[in-house]
Amino acid sequence: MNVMEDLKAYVDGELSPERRTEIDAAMEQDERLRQELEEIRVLSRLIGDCVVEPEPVGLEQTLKLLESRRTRPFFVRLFKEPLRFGWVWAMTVFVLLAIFFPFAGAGPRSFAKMAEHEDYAATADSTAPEASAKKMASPAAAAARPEELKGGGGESNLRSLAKAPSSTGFAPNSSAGVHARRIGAPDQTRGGANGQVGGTTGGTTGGSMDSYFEQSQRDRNGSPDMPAGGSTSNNGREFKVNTQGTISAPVAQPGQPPLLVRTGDLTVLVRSVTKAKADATNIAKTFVGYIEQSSASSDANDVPTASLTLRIPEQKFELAMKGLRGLGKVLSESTTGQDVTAQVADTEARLKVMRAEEESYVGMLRTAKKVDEVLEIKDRLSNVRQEIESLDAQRKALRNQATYSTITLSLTESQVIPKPPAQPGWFDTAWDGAKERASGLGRWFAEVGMNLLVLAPIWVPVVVGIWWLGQRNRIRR
Amino acid sequence: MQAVQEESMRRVLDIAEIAKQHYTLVYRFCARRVGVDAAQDAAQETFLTAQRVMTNFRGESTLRTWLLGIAHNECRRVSRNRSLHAPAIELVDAPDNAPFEQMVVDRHALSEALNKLSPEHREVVLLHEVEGLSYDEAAEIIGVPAGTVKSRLHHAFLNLRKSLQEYSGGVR
Repeated sequence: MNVMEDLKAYVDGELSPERRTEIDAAMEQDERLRQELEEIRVLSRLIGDCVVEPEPVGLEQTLKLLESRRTRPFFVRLFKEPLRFGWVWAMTVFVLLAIFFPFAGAGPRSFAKMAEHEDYAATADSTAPEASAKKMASPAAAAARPEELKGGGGESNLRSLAKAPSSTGFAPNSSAGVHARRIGAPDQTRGGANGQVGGTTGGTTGGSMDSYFEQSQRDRNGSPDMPAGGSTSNNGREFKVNTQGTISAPVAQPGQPPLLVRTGDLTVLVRSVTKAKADATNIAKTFVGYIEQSSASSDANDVPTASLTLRIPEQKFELAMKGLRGLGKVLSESTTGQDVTAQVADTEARLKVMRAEEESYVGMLRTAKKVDEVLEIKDRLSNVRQEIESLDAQRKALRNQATYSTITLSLTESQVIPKPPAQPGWFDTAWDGAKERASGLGRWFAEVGMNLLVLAPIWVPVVVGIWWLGQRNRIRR
Repeated sequence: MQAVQEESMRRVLDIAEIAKQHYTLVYRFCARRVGVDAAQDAAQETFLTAQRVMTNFRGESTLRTWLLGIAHNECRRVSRNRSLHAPAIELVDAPDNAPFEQMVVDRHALSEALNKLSPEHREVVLLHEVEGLSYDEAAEIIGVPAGTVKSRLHHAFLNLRKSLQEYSGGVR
């Protein structure tokens, strides 16, 4: 390495000890190096000694300035130090833009959202029953299942019933007991109140055919107080449910919750029928219900109206009503409740009687010898089975009605009567003008900002390049 | 313990104290780069900047180096904004007991030689010879490796000696 190049560093003491040793050795042999070293040393000392040390001024001012900066209020610093508090200004601009530009407010996005609701509601309308049925695994369905298994009408079931009546037969429960009392009351020719099954079988095996058929026909047609085919039972009393949801006279069997068929009618004045429909659909879905029927129309004055039939689980009836009341101004409301516990019990008891009768016919069919007897028994057996199917359907329908309450919702859009435009004062005019101008300015800034952002890949390299060239030229100068 | 350390650090980093201790150094540094007229503004801005970015100072360099680094940037900014050129390096008058003619000639020649240096050479000469900074400190302030400082100083002194020789040759 060239020793000459390191002479200055040698004078300044910036060399490593090894290098210093090397240079020392080189200098001992070279007089010219020693001379060079001395010249550098003298020159270095001369520069250090001779350069003017300007007398400092402005310390006091600087200290005052530093102190004032330290104690300056925040809002003053905002203006005095705009670069430092750029984020505050950026936030302010953003807030102003947000105020004057309702980008995220009730703009197109919310319309899109509303449209989404519409689609959703439409989908929900068409699919709700299936979805709800799947989701719910409703008590009615659950209740129906064992009944279907027991009394589905299959031949094998009948046989098994005939073979082992004691094991699969009719356990004397409360509803059966009710029915037995009803049957027993008008028809004193039958056995004991609780002995309709035994009486029936006894009659079939020991009595005449005609007397049995007459008896069974009476049973089928029902006694005067016996509910028949879908007609309202005289025990199924209708009663009003007050707005608090308390039922005035519930009828329930001990240990068994009453089966209530609850219906509600609600007419609501809303601002937007479309939105209210969507909200009502959401309410139905929230309570695991569904929309049974939905229609929309306009009246003679072009006021949009809509009608919805909601099926809501009975336990959620009051909550759903409360939610629907919140859709707007309630114009009318009525709720009714019907206790169908006894009706269902009657139907089930009759069903049992019919099945017992069917069983006895099957037994008779096995023992019949003559063709006429066989044909007659088959004919009657067919009638009994039809009756069983009918009663079973009726029972299921009643249970379904009791499980899902029905709410009929009528929506009417409120008509806003346009007020005559008031003459704006100077303040309103100025304010509106200022808002409009600020809005325009804000929009312009937003557009410029967006353009700058989008076109950044083009203009940023150009600007950086120009700046870099400028810097380089300045440095060269 | 930590609170005590923070308190002592706060006292050390009190900008008013720092300004009192280092104002002269910073002012002279600025005066040699932007001239006496703009030196006050540059020095003031240096301390204001230091006050603003005080929290960024991690103590990895000395306070003097850190301040001169800020002053270096501030001087560049002032020079750019006001289109200033580097002022001539002034030398003090010769002492009375020196041989008058010789000293006047030497100082005049030295001043000429210093002012003929390129900005890069002039910068390292000022930092090392006048401000008395080590190679590493000078390198940190101007943002170049210490080897570059060493090389620039070597060449600066070559140029200085060459200029002085030319001057003395011309005078003779």
